[in-house]
Amino acid sequence: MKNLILSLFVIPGLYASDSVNNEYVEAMRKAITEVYMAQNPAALNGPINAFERIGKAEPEKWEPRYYKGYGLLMQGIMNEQPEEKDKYFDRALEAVDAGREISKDNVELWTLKGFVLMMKLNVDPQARGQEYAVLAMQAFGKALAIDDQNPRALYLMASMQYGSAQFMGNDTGEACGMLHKSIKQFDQYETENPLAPQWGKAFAEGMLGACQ
Amino acid sequence: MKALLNITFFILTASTIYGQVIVKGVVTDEVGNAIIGANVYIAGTYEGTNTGLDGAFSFTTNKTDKNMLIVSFIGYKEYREELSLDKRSVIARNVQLVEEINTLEAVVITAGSFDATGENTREILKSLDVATTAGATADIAGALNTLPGTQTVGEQGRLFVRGGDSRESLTYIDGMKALNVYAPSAPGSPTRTRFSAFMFKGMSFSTGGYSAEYGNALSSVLALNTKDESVVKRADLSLMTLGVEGVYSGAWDKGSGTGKVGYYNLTPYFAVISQQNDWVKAPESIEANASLRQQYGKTGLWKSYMHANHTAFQVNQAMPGEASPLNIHRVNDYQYFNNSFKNVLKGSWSYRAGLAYSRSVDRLSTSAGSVDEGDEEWHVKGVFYYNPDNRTEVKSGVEYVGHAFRQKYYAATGDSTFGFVQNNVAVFSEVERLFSENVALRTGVRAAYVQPDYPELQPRLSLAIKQGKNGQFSLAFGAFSQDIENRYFKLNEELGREKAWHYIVNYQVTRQGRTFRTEVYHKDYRKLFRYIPDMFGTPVSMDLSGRGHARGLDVFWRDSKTFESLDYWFSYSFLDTERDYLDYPLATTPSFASKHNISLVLKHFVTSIRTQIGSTISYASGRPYHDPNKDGFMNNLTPYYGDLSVNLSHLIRSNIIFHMSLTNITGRKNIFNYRYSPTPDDQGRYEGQPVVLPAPRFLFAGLFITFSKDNTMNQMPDL
Repeated sequence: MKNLILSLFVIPGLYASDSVNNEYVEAMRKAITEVYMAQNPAALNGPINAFERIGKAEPEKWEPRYYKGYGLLMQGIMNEQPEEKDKYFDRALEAVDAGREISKDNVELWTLKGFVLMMKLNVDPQARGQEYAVLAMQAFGKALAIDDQNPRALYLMASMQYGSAQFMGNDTGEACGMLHKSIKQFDQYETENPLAPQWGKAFAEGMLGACQ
Repeated sequence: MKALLNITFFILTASTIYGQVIVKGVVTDEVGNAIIGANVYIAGTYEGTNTGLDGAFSFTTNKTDKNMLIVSFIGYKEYREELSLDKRSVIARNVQLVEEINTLEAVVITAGSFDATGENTREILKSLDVATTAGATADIAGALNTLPGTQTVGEQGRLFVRGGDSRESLTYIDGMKALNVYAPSAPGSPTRTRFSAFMFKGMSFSTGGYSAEYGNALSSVLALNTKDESVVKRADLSLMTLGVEGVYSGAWDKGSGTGKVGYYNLTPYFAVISQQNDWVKAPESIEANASLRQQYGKTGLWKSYMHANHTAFQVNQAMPGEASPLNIHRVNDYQYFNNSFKNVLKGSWSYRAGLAYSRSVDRLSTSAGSVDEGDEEWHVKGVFYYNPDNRTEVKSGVEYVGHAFRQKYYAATGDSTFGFVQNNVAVFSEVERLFSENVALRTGVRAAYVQPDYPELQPRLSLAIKQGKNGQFSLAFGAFSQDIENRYFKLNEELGREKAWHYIVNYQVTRQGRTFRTEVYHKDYRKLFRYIPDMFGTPVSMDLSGRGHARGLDVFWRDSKTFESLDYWFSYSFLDTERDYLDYPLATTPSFASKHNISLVLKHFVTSIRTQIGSTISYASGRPYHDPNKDGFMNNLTPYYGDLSVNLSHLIRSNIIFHMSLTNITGRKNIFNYRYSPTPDDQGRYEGQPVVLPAPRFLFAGLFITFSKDNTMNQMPDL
C-alpha cells in the first residue's frame, strides 16, 4: 500500500521534476560550454544573457547566478581598461551575492566571491591591497571551511598565500603544498551536481612553474 | 491505429496553431545605433536570444497566449511589452532602448570640494593619503594643508582656507558637528587634529560652495566618515616615540566595534631632542576612543563614535621685554560622542538622523592669573531623502545646535564670570539632479533661525558640465554665515552673524591616473565683527561693519601613472585677501594669510624592499605682521616659509610595520610672526621676538604591530 502511494505520488512527481530539470540542465550546459569556450569579452555576452534569462525563470537555482558572475568576472579580466574593470567585477559580485541568497553555505559561490575580490584588489593594489586581501582571504577561508577538498578554493587560496609569502620574502612551501593538493583534487573531486563548475585546472597548472 | 493518427494529427495542428512563433526585430538606441549583445526574451522562460552585430534578433517560442517580451541591456532601461502569441507565426518588433544615466560615468559637482571615499578610481584623493603624506605625521589637517586653497600657518597647524581664519573651517563626523577639533598645544607649537585618521574611511574637504546641509562656517567644511565595518577580530599595538596605543576590533553578526586607548608623553622625546621652550612638564595625555556599527535589517545602519581625552602641560614661555618668563599651565578635558542612524523608509524615501555632543573644559593658569573655560555643544539633526529615480535626489532636513560657553577669571582683584547659552535652529532643502550624463545641478536653500535677524536665508547653487570625455566645468555660488567668536559673543549676543558669499569656477580633467584641476574663486566677506578697543584692548564699541574679500587661483596636478611606482601631486594657491575687521584701523592682509603656497608631495613604493618612501616640499611666501617700531599697520613681511619633510614605512613582517617621519630636514628656521613687548623700553623701542617652532625638526618613529588570526594583517592602511 505504502509503495502504491509512493508510486502514485512520488514517482510522477520525480518524473515531472526530472523533465523540467532536464530542460534546465540542457539550457545551462549549452551556456556553460559557451562561457568556457569564449575567447573574447564579446563572446561572453551570449552566455551571460542566457544565464540571466534562466536565472529569472528559475528563482530557486543558484547555478545561473554563479555562472553569470563567472562570465562577468572573465569579461572584467579580459577588459584592458582599469576604469572599466570595476563595472564588471561589481556586477559579478552582485550576481554571486544573489546566488548566496539562494544557497547559503555554498563552497563554489564563496570561492567565486573571493576570486572577484582578488581581481578587484588587482585594479588598484596600492589603495585596495589591505582591505581586499583580507576580504578575499576571508571568502576563501569560508569556502574551505565548508569543503576543504574543493580544488578551486584550494588553488585560489594557494595563489593568494603564494603572493603574500613572496612579497614578504617568506617560504612559499605551504602555498605550493596547497597548490599540489588542488591539482590532485581537480582530478579526484566528485560532485553529484551535473552543473558543478569545472574550471580552474589549467590556471592551477599554469602556476606550477612558480612552485618548481 | 486510428487513435495514433488522431494523436499525430492533433500534435501537428497544435504546433501550427499554438507553437513555434518566431519573434524577430532590431534593437537600437535612441539615435538609431544598433545595440549589440542585448538580451531579448520571453519573461519566465529560457526562450530568447542576444542581438547580433547589426542589433538584429530572432528566436522561436513555444509559448501561447499573452506573454511579456523583455529587452534588456546594461545602461539602458528595460523594455517590456506584452505580446499575444496566439494564431500568429511571426511577430516583428523593432525596439528602441532608452539610455539610463550611468551615475558612475556622469558628471559630479567638484567645485570647491576634494572627495576621498576610497572606492571610486576617479577620485583624486584617497583616504590612505592622510597617512602617507610626508610632513603631515598622519594628521588630517596636516595632510589637507598640502592641497590647494589652504595656507600654511606653521605655528598653529590648523586649517586656514582661502583667506579665512581657522575658526571658519568646521569639522563634521558622520554628518554631525564636532567642536574644538584641535588638541591643545603650547603657544607657538603646532596642534594636531584630535581625531586620528585611523578612525575614518572617507572624507570630503570643501574649500567653498558647500551643500545647504552645512551652516555656521564661513570658509570650509571637512566631513569625515567613520569606517563602515571591520570584518575580522584584530588587535593592534603601536609603540611610538610619543606614546603607546592599543586597539581592539571585533565583529559579530551584522555589527562590529573598535576600542582604542592611548597614552602619550613627550618627556622622553624632549629629553633627547632639545627644545627652545623651557618645559616644566611636557605635554602628557591619555585618550580613549570607541566606535560601534550595527546593521538593522537589510538597509538600516547605526554608527556610534566616542572620544575622550585628557591633556596637561606646563611651560615657561619667554616674553619679549620681560625679565622672567610667563609660566603657563594648561589642563584640558575633551569629550565627544556621536550617534547616527540611517535607513530606507519606503521605496524611494530614506532618512538619516544624528545626535552629537562635544565638551571641552580648559584650565589655564599663568603667573599673571588663571582662567577656566568651558565650551559645550549639542547637535541634533534629521534629514530625509527622496530619490524618485537614479538621477534625482531631494534632501531636506532640520537641525538644532545648542551652544553653551562659560569663562571664569581668577585674579587677585576678584573673580569675574562670563558666558552665554545659544540656541540655533536651521532648516535646509536641496535638490540635486542629473539632467543628462553631462549636466548636474544642485540647488538649495538654508534658513537659519539666529538672533536677531531671522530667518536668515542662504541660497546655495552648484552646477557641473561635462567637457569632452574626461573634463568638466563646475560652478558654485552660495551665502554662508557664522557666529562671531566666543570671546566677543560673550560681550554682545545681539549682533547676529558674520557673512560671506562664495563664487567659484572650477575645471577638472582626469585621465588614466592623471588629474589636472584648477579653480578661481572670489569670497566676499560682509558683516565682519569690528570693535573699538579701550586702553586695555577691551572692546567697547562693537558692530558688524567689518568687510573683506579673498580671491585667488588654485592649481592641482596629480599623476600616479607617468613614473613606475611613483605617485605625486603638486598644489599651488594664489591668494589675494584683505579685511577690515576686529580692531584693524584699515583694510589689510591679515597675518595668517600668505600670497603664494606651493606643495609637492611624492610617494614612492619600492616593492622589492616592501617600503614606501615619501617626501613633501612646502613653500609659503611671507606673511604680514605688525611692527610697532615702524609707522603704519601690518607694515612688514616675514621671510618665506620652506620645509622639506620625509617619511618611510617599512613592512618588517606581514604584521609589523616600522614608520618614521622627519619634518624640515634642512633645519631651516622658519619665522611665522613676531611678538612684541606691550610697552616700549628706555630707548622707546618695542622689543621683538620671532615666533618660531620650539624645535626646527620633528621626528616621529613607531612600530605598529597587528595581531589577527593568521597575522596576515597590518596597519599599513592606517599609517
